[in-house]
Amino acid sequence: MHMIRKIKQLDLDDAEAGMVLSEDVLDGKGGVLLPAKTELTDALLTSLSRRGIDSVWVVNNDVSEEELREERERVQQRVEHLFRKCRNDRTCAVLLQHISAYRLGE
Amino acid sequence: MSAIELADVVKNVRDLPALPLIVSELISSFERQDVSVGALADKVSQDQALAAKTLRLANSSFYGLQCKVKTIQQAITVLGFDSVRALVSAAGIIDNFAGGEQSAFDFKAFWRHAIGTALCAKSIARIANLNQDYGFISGLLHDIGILVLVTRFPEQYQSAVAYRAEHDSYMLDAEKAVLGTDHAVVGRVLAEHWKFPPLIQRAIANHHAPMQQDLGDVPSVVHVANAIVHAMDLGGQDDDLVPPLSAGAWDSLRIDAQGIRRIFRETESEFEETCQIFVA
Repeated sequence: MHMIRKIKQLDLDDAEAGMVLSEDVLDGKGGVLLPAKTELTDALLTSLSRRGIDSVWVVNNDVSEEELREERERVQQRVEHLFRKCRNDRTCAVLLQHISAYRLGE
Repeated sequence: MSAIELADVVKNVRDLPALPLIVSELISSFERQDVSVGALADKVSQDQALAAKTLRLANSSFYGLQCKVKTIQQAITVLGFDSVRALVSAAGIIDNFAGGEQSAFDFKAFWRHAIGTALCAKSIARIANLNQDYGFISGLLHDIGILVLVTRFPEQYQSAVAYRAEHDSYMLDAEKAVLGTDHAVVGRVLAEHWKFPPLIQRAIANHHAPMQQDLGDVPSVVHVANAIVHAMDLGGQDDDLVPPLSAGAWDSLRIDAQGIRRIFRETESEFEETCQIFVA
């Protein structure tokens, strides 16, 4: 049950200047090399490559609001289908809430 | 009439091929403190297929090691004895039950669910401050009763599968209706026969209905992990169903909203890679 997201992971080779980071870029020890929301430049890409980074998470602008809305609906329906036998159960309802929030990125 | 007598189950469990010696020794050693690390490393290293699989797992993103480990002894040094023991046991059991012979039963889907539950149970156990290796191995084995039913009573089990599809019911209820027994009961018989540690026996026997003594412990972890893996749709079966969740078991683990997100993320991010290594 994967969904289109407003973020995507790219090989560093496919990342371009002008793209915006959606997650911090970390070095091997968990230190922040570049914070989320940084706009990439050619110089930054070169320096990430030099630090051994091979992929980054960036904001995905290829997804239209319409596609996102349809995708959310599909995911919501699938989750409800999976819970069709236990949604009246209090604890299952709690799990359903958590999984929906996780899938729909709220 | 497809009902299966419990005596028949017990007899068939006795006739099952024994687990490889190394695997049964490892599982029964979970409760002992006096196990020789060197002896384990030697034994595992002699079984090349098992050693290779264990090293691939140790080097997967599952552990996120900075440097690759090349020998079992090294893996024990870096990951710890308990983790390596859990990995070797898991690899050994999956190989033992790989299926292979022509069967309508989807062994691959079975192991994918088992692996998802193992990863999820490991993650829950860590967050709930319980033993992660017990969580992992119990999660992996929780449905093992199904394998006994499928391999020893294939036609009867096929009727139960058909009943489940027709009634859109839980597999457990279909088994009870058609076979007069279910995979949790059969799993308990097998776990006793194979002399698994009592905690693992309980996790297998009670994974659909944790009892008072299971609260806040590994059997509750496996109960919750099983539900989460169905909810996350990791099996990808169209007619999959999230099983009922015991409020007592859920509450006893005291997982907050942040913890549950971490569990989802960890389970999902390790899932495909672990499946590829275990059921290649």
